[in-house]
Amino acid sequence: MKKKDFVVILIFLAVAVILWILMNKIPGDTAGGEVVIYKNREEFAVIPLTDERTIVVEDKGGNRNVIRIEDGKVRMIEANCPDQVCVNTRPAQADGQSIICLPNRVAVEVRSTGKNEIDGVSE
Amino acid sequence: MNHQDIKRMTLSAILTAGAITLHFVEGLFAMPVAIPGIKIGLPNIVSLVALYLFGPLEALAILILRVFMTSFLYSGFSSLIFSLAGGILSIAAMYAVRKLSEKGFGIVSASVAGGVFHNIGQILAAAAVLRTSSVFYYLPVLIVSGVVTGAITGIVSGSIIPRLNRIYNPDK
Repeated sequence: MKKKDFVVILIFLAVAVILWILMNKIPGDTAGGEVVIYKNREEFAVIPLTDERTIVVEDKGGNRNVIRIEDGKVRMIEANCPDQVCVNTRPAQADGQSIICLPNRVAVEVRSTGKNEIDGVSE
Repeated sequence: MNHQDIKRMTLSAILTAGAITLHFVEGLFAMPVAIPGIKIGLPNIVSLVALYLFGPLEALAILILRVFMTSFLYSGFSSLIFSLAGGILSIAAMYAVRKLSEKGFGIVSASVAGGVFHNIGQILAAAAVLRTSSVFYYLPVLIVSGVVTGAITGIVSGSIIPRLNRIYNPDK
């Protein structure tokens, strides 16, 4: 093998790594779909994951949660609950991931809108 | 038809037969990795040998003959478009690298490029057939596998090509 052969190999491997990183950053059409917010076990709002907005969930008891959707991810940015578990939960982006604030009875769930196109293909 | 033409014709026929055999042999054993669609690409050795010995047109002719033969013999018509897309792109990439051989890019470089672009061709074919871009998420995996299998076939071809060249071009 020549010296430049190794260069070619390294270039291709670098391209693969870069593509892999990019694809993990950009949410695809099969990743997630819409965000469903539940308050007291009832559907409070359904928002596409591609939106960029902030939702405030409040009730008469003074419980307050602020949910932020951006870059295809959903986060709980603020909550007045005592344990703050929801705020420390990592952002949800894939189908089935959720963020739950038990004291305030708020749940945020990501669900897929369309079917996964890779499934169902066979030779 | 002179002496050299007959040699080229015979050697091309032998290479085509060899490519069909290699395709069959490859189907006999499973790859040790649990990723679908990954093969060593043994028939690519023939494409590489044909490209370095004769040129791109002969390599393309051998590829098309091989793909049609193996599709009708073993794998069925559906694999035809995948094999053709991968093979043609692979030969194009290897030919481009071969043109750079004076700049120090050897057979392994050509083979690695061929392996990667073979897989890219198959992904493009899959995207066209399935009408979805989801298959492109598979691209990084297939690039890495193309590099690995391309390096293996490149090293093998590197030892075959000089030997066959002594038969084909004894005066040089």
